[in-house]
Amino acid sequence: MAQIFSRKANTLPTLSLMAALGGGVFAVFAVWYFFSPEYTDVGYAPPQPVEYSHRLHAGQLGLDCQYCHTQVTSAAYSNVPATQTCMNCHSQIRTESLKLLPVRESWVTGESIEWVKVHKLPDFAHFSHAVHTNNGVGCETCHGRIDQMEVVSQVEPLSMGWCLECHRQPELFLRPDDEITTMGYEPPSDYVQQNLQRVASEKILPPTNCSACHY
Amino acid sequence: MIELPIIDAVPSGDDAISPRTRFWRSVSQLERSSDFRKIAANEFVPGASESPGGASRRQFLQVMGASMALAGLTACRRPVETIVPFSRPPEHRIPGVPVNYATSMPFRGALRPLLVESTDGRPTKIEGNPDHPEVRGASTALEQASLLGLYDPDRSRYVLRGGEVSDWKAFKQAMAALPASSRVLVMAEPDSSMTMARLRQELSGAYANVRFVEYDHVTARRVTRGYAAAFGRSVRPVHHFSEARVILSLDADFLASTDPDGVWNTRQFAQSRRMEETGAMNRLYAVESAYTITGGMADNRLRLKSGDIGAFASALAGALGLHDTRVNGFSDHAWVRELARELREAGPGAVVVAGDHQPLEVHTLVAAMNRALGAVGSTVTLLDAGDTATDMHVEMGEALAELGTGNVDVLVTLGINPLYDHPELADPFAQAGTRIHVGPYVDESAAGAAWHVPETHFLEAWGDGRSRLGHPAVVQPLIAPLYEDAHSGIEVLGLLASGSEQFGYDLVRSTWRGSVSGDFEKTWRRIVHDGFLAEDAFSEVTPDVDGGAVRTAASRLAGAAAPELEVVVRHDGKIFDGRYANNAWLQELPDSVTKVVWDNVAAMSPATAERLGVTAKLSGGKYYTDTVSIDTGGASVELPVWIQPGIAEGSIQVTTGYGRSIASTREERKTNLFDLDDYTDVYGKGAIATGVGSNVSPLMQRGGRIAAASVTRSGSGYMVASTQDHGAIEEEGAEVARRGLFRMATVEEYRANPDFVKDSEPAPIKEDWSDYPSLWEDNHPTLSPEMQNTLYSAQQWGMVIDLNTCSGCNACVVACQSENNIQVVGKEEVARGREMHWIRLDRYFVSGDGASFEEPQMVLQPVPCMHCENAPCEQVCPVAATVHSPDGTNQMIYNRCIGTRYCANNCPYKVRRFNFYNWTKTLPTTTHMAQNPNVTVRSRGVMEKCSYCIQRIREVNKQANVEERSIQDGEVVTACQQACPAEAITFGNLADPESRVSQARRSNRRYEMLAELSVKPRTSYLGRIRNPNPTLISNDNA
Repeated sequence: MAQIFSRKANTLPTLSLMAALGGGVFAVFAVWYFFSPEYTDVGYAPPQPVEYSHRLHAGQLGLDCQYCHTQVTSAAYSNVPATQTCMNCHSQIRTESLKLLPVRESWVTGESIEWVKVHKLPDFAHFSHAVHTNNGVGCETCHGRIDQMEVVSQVEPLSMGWCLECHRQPELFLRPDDEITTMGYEPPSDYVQQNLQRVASEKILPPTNCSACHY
Repeated sequence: MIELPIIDAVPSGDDAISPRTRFWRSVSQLERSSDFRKIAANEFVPGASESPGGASRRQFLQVMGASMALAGLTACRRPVETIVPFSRPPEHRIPGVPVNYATSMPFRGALRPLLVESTDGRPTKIEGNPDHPEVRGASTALEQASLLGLYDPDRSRYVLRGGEVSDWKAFKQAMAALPASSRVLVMAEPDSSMTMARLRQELSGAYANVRFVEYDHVTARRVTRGYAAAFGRSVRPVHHFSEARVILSLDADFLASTDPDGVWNTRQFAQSRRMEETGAMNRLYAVESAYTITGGMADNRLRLKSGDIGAFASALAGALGLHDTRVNGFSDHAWVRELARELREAGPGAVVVAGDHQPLEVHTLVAAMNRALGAVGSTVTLLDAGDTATDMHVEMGEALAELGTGNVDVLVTLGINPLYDHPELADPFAQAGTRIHVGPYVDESAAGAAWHVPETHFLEAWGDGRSRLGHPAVVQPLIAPLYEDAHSGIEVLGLLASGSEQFGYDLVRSTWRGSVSGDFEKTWRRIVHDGFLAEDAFSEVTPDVDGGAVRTAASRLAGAAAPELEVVVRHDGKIFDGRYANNAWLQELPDSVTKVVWDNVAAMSPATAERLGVTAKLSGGKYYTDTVSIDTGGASVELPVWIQPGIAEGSIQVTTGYGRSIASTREERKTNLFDLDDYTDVYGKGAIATGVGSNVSPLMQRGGRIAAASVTRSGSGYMVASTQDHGAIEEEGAEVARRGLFRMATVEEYRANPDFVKDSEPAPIKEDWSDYPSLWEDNHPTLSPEMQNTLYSAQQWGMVIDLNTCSGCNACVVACQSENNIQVVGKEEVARGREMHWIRLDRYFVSGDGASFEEPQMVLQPVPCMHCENAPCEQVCPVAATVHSPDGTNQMIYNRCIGTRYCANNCPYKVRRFNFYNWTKTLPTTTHMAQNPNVTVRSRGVMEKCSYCIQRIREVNKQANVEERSIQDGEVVTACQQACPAEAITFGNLADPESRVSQARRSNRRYEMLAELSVKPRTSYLGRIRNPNPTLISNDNA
């Protein structure tokens, strides 16, 4: 009787098995990478209702982070400034600019500007800015060179693993308290040594137990 | 980790304490029914894992199939979340950081002082005002739950004209158009508001004929009238139980949340209960028909029909020499003789209280007895609370007559629901020319009204008044009225009085401007900041007793006898008179004594039930009861039966407030085939008060609360949801000797054997567990450097609950629910044991072995998570979702939990709650506002439990870190601890030897529940001490 399958078909089972294994490995890798915050979150730069440029204000003009984000050392949330803060200057500067029209409208009508949140942590993770900025973590460490961004983008994944990198070895990331808002800070060559001393003397103990953030 | 020692078990041979005391939760436990044993042996009640009744297997499979098919179609785009700052920000407001404001809650004619936490412009948690002398920061379940009342989705939102939606503008025009010749009748609850009083004056000037009726359905009017008859003038009696050595409660539940002085009484009573501090202990006698929490705290209790209490009081008054009328059946009663002796001996340290549903003659006698004993001025002070009645006030009878003859053009009801309490008023009400109903709901009384105006909640309106002791206070709103058309009672009266709109803020300020001397703005800011004025409280008076009135009262009561079968109508301990019927938290709160939820019942003793031929059976984890039809001469009321040990024979106890009907403007949620959550939506079918329980107001003929009843069995198989068996831990059984879950002793036993709690340790059965190894003896996680060298390790949190002072009032349960976003599951789900309360109150009856269950004692034990150092739950979680924190608490990490439920299975205390469904998916939008933003909201499939208020702990951790300081004792206060009026819960740092909790732990009354399991719980208990009078103990209940 004639064979339905030729001899060449004998390779099929082996081939399909290898393909399945390879595909499986590839699927695992794909999910591991493409579903991780490194891929999904880093680089997220949504358009904002007002084309506010940090590069201009914080970079060129040299406004300090805390001029607008006033509660970053006293509260869990670092606040996005109210329209009033913008109007401090823009009631006199660029008063006819079309880009600032939504700001002026908000000021006049009392309606808020709805900024798009860029750095988002899930609801089951509680994060406090105050605790970090008061213990030597600079704005730049987590948010990157904001002063070079036309549109704010997320540069760090903000995943738990990423947080633990610092929490386990804070001496590699801390900076002096007066350099918290410095953009482009160049640490001295012995900064790890200095930080180790600081960690010991100020008892900086970043918690690594679950209930520190998840509760 | 704190090295808590493993407790050495001592064989319990000859117990010094009553060797035969048994603790039991229900008759089913006593009878060792197989159903109860199933509940006790398992973590989850039978039926807990079943799918909802509505969904069949076919529907379930359809849903599963559909979800598989649709899985790929979910949106792949990242959701956009916005940050919305202010345009012009209010000063001093930090987003996410709560601010506290002092205000007050109007309740029963006085104000209860509160401190309300406001987050981002809306109130999220209510506490008592810590500075106020009457509450010192404590609150009851009612205040805690009233937050949900503000966000009630079924609240009325629009002005209604003849039942059709209108608006406030139209109402204003109509009111402005009222002719000045109108005859106006205003019906409202008595209140202490100065602004109301002022507006009443103004109103009477605005129209030709203005009259006011005090609708005193819920005030303690019999007390007031009784005392007024005794003293010839109106006085307000306020009790000081901390000064009392002997207390007699005649059917008075003075520890209840609904008592006007609930918090004050509980705290004071607890103070004179603490033997360690004062060296002596007071003695509470309770003579009552129902089992109340006051009866539970009583050292000696006598069951007596409410209808006989009057005769009892009369006999007692005679024994104290106030009159010489003989009272048949009671003048020679052992109790009367002994009580008279004790009370006379205590003198100024004695106090007698009677329940406010007892007839006023009883209160006259009580007033006279207190005066004769010298209690007035020491354990009872009589305050001159002023008389809110003016010459414009008329009695209700006269008002109804005027209505009937058509002499009323405008009838205004403010915040009351008379057609629910008295449906027969519908006819006279219809005779009024224009009826205006101002109330929070479109309820029974709104039907037929020409105008309905939604009333503001006290959290969103200005007001004023006085607390019980008379401290002037201002009610300040925490948020603008949620609904534009909502206005407060004073605003409506202001509109009527002046013809133009007046805002509550201006009304209250102009009242105060008139009465404050000196700098008005300064005083105003002070009272709004503090919440009250410490000065200007009511002054004390000491009038003489009118002997004639006393003798009249005594002889009237001497002749009265209780009917053979009486029905006693009380205010429900949670729903009160019905005003909280739509409050989901209170509906789901298990009643302190019956543990029934979402229903009112006709409670009766086992013997009475047998006589009437009715039963209640536990079957498959649920109670199925017979229903009875009760008739007192008016319409009959049908209620399910509830067997309650400890109720007087021939007495049936029912509670008001159920059987409400509220028309809700909320749209009913549309559901589709795939919506299994529809089944679990508590809010899904309109107002939640609708269809819950039965209205018992027909039983109150002529306003009487105690009446003769004829009762017939009318049906069977009614499901009553009760939590009394939930979380049952077998106290004793074949494998286990007595566990000593609740340990108590009398004063004599305590003095003879101060370590009595140790005697209740169970005897080792098979092994000597003094060297019972810890599972992780060598490498317990808390001994690792990660756990020891952290910034949290300096605090080791622990809790001590004093069972001696806990009365079981339920304040902690609702406080925890409010603080931790604990969801409501509905009656059916509670019946399956799925209630979500993180702290529960276990109620045990205590009786001698072999004795009947007719006369048990009752004790209540709060059971939160024990936060075991050697937690059985941590050891079995496959994904490490429940872990030990470096500061000694056992924490639930919700995002890791996959819902195995192994931890709950392993918990010997059964304190873990599982989210069988997504209870939050279908929550109406306004209810979202009540949630605490600092606590994760849990979804389906996640385990949860008491966290020692970790959010509060971490908040203080962060604060202390930023401020570079250490945490002080008392800085972290758990929600339950903060609410407790008896200060029974102590929480703090065990690593600090001087902290209050460490001091409490050094008490010789301290024991740990189930310590023999070597779990090393961080929460321990202080055993209860009772002070019974040995001559009055009727059976072998020691």
